[in-house]
Amino acid sequence: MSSEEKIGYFEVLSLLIITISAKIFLSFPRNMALLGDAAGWIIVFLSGIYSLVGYFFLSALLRKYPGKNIIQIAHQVSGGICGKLIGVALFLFFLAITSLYLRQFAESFILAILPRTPISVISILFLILLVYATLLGVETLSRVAWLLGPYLLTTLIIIFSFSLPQMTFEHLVPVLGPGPIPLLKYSFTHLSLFPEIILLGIIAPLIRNREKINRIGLYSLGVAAVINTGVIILTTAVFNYVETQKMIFPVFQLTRLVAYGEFIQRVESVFVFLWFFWAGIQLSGLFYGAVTSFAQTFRIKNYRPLTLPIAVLVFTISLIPASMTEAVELNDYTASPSLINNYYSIAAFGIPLLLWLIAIAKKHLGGVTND
Amino acid sequence: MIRRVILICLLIMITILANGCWDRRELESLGLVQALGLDLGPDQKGVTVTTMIAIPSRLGGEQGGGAGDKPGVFLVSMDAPSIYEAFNLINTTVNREITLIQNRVLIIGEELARHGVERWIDNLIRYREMRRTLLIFVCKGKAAKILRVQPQLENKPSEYVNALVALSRRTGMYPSVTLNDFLKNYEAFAQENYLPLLDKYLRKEGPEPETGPAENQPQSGGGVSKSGAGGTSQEKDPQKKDDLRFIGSAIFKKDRMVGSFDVYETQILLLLNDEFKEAMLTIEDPLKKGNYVVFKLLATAPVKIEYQRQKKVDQFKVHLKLEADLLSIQSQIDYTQPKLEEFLGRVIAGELKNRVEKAIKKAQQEYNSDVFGFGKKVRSTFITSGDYEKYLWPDKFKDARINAEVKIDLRRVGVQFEPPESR
Amino acid sequence: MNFWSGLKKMFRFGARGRQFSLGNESWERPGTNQPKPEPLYKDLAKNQELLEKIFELPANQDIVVRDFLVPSLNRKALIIYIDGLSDRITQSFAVLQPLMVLGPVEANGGKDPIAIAYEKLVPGHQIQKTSYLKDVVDGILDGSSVLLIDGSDQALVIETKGWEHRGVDRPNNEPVVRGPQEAFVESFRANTASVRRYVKDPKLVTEIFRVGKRSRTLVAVMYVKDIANPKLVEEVKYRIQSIAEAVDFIPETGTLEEYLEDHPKSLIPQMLSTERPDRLSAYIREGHVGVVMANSPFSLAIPATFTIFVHSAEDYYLRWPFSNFLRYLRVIAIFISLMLPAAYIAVINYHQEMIPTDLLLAMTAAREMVPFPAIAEILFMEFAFELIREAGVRIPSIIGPTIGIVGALILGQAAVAAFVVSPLLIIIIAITALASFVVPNYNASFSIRILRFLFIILAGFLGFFGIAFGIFLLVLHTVTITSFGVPFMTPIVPYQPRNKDRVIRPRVYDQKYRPMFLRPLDWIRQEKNPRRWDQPQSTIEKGKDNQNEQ
Repeated sequence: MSSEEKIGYFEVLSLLIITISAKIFLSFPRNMALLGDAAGWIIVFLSGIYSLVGYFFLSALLRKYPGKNIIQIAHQVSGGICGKLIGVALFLFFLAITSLYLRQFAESFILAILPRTPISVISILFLILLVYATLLGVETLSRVAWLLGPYLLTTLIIIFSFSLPQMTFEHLVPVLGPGPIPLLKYSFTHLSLFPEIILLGIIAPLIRNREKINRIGLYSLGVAAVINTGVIILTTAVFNYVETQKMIFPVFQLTRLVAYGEFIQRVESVFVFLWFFWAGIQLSGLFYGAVTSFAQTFRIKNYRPLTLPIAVLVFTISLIPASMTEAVELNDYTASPSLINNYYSIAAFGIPLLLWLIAIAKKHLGGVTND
Repeated sequence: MIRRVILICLLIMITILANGCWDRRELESLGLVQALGLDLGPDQKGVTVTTMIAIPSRLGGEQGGGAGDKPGVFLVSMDAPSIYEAFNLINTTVNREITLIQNRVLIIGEELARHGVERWIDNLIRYREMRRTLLIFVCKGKAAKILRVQPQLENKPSEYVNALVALSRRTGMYPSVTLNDFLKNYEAFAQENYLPLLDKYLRKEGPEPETGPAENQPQSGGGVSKSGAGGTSQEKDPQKKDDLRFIGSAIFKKDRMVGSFDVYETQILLLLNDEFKEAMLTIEDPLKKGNYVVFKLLATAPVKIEYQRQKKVDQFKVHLKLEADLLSIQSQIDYTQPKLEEFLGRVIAGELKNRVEKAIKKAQQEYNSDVFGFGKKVRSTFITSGDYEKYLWPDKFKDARINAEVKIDLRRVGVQFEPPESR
Repeated sequence: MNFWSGLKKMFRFGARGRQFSLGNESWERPGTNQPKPEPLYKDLAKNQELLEKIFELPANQDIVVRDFLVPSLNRKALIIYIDGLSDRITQSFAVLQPLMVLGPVEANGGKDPIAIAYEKLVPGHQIQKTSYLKDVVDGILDGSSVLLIDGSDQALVIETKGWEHRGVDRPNNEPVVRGPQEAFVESFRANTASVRRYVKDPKLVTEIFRVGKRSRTLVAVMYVKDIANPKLVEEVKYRIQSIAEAVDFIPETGTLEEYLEDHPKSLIPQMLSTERPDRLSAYIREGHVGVVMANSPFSLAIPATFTIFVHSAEDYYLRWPFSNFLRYLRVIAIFISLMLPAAYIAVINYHQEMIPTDLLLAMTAAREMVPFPAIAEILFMEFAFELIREAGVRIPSIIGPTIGIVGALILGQAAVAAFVVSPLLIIIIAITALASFVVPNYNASFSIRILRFLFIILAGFLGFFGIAFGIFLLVLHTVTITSFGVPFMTPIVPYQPRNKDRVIRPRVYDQKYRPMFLRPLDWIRQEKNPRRWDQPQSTIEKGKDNQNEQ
């Protein structure tokens, strides 16, 4: 990893916010409606609060070992083999999440605007972007995130405001959905709503102001939680929860409803730009995480030659689900193979927790402080 | 050397991609469907699809208005087991690819509506070209016949229908329902659907020279709502032109049409659903019988429904608060004095209360379908969705006790104080 | 180059090791090799022979050698100059007359005759004493006259430049309505003098270099010594010096630009080339470095960022609301000229549902007559328009307007009437062309023209998806490129709140700081509230001292 790169505060913030909230364009509202009926937003909200707690371990680790990213910390704290295992776990996490999102975003583009295009074309185009962005480095990527960020947010607000006339808060009742106990249970077990925060652990050493890392993580989680909750409330209020449970990409349907007078109608294709940029930035960030975690695990100095092979790997894995529904259901929490979701939470929140515990244990047992 | 290799690879890629452009469609290869009509097929299982396809050279361009006597659209009808197979069948004769991207109108024949739209709803929402902003109508008779009308003011019938539907804001006599609204109520388990009802209309251009004035009265006749308000004469004089007319709304229960409301009951329906904006109504003058008072009713505050669940029976109290603008006084009584204004307001309120309770009773007893949205109130008192689903509200609607209370404020009286008196 | 090294090269994007940046790191560079200069001889005959060999005399009849006797020193001397480049009047008054006719009789005194001549005999206003052959040759080629006296190994290069050149004229390529109407010309000193007139700061330093082994073109690097960042100045000077001896001939600042750029292969220009001295001096005053070259009416301002290409010279001469209106217009025009044809293709071929039904039917009716697909139409019309544009530049001015009418009107009208293109397309092309002329910089408008074609092709492949793809790639690229170490999208992307002059400009009296991305030595441009007369009375009387303290 080049020691020359330095990323600023706003750039990392926007990169993380975009990365964590990109899933709103996929079947995220549907999954929440399936779990919580009309109270899906409560699940997201509570899950956001829990993930703030889970983030505490990550930030404590980063503060304890400044200047190192999480894989280097793993090597240092838990020694060779264990560190490598953790690194490989993180690499597999990033790989899985990138391929899955790539597949789902490509499916959503095909569904929305390009029905006859084969999916490999869209996947390959995205991968060209990802490879190019990763080769240019995360500094460039975060600058792009900061450059495009306010416009993406503005467009999202435009979608909100166009949908406001069609929102009825009567659709948000019954208020507690399936009941308070299932809500609490789901929001805890399905903590994997914000796993991308671990990306902060990977790019931590590159941030210019070390002291602000904690704040970056908190703010990005907070804003992302607000965006996610807002979108769930919006889709549930416009389409009642029964319909949201059955739609594949609810936000896409929402953009189809945008109409203003006689002139502006059926303009959902314009919002393609919004998803494209959002997806591009998120996937680039996660892809960068995958490449660097692999490089860091095996102590490879220059991660750039790894981009092409890992890109091929991502492409292949993204084609594994046999149909669109299967691809989308892999993120679904009520379908039976929800191993992946549990795996996400383990990777994103379990690993920092584990490392933190080990670090605390070492200190208490009077172990060697190898700083 | 390396540059040549890259260049060759690039050229190969470009040729592969240029062969593709899988989604590119040239404008002149599109057959733009302007309106879609669905009827029950002859075998009771399939559907007859009628598409109204636009002819661009007659509708667009400089010649558009000039060729007014030739219709700018043409109709094609096909029988098929499903809607999309019907499109393929239509494409065996129409030389442009049928596409629904500019479609805004969907008309369902009454037979299909009464048979049940359950089988076709999925058809409508799954296909990506079909949009949720589609306007749906039910029509009496066959949709194919309704689509044959040639409106006078517009070249394109779909524009005509769209503009007409937009006017529902001004009259409140028929609702404006999109596929999205339809689906919301369809699955919500709290309210039943209603759709505007279309019929063919023989436009009267004045009294017949030979026969006396027809028994059809003008719209603003009578204060009492009678079903069958004017204009549905069935005999067609071949020289008279056909037009469309909205005659109210069709009431659904679950997925079948079970009945209809006429225009006045539809006004009540829209009032209770918060979709009513304004309308001009007439009542009989309370102080001088035989004369009418005309006023414009405005909905300014949303309707408030109070709900109380008592042991077996649900009790609702509907509070309506409306404003009225006085438009015309036929007797010379000066209703613009404050005391008489109040009195008039109470009279109007009483009249409306009658209409509301009649309409609700009709929905309860004749159709047993909660089109007014009382179920939404019931749902908001439940904490978990499981409890609500166990409650089974639609079966309980029939026994609910609903009272209405209407309050009318007479705010404006136009530009005149006292009505003119002849001396 | 075999395959593996080519592959390895591909993966070095961005990982170029250490790059130049204006940050606080020290930066050691290897020195430039300047060849050792040759000395002159003491003997006049030998010097003359040397120079005759260098200049290919007597075949070369441009060079004139005038030998004479200096009576006061009683030595032989000669002057060498180029006929046509030297001003005869100055020569005769400053050199020949004093030496040959008017000089007082001097004792020899053993001092160097050149020194005596320099101090007492030659009244020229600018004389350089040199003992190197290179300076002599350069001086002759510049138009100066070189005086050689027997017995001295030094020469005097006397400034006698004067030749036919174009006078200061109106700017052809950057006209403004409100503002000075002067432009640079090909004469080097006239250019530097123009800049001097606008920046009357004694700290404005002009360092002159000669680039090109065979062309020895004068290049001036102008900067304000206590504003410009010394690292930046060093870097500019270093780059110029390192190419000076490596190249034979550098004709114009455009070529120089290509030699000096950070990313010469990019589609986006990284230096601002301008014809107006007021614009260049505005940037010099901010802390940029200006490069002026002889024989070139375009000067460079280094470094240049994205916002600089959106600004025009007039922006600060107009009132604040008007210039902001123009800037908004310019930004919208950039978007239109870049993306309107591509958006048209995307909407017509892929997203037909976006068009209102009436318009769609009219367009279909028009397109039914045209046999070509939409993308072929657009490429054809764009190509025709580029032809018209290039032809318009080269056409002799007499028949220029006629061709304009023929090209634009008749071609367009006839094409529509012959059903080769549809009328809506002509409107789109016309609007795009107009919008592309709104861009105030010639280089930047080229980038937009080429990128427009790329976007059209991308839109033809995949509609809005292709356009989004293109935009993303373009943004990724522009965020990476640097202009002399300054990221190109400053101050938008490395966000600097103090630089308020991004796309919209703030009020003149609100801009307290100079652009921070240049890391100038003197940050503060003006006081916090420079409109002192606008303060309430009590603060003025009381705060006279306060203002001075700030």
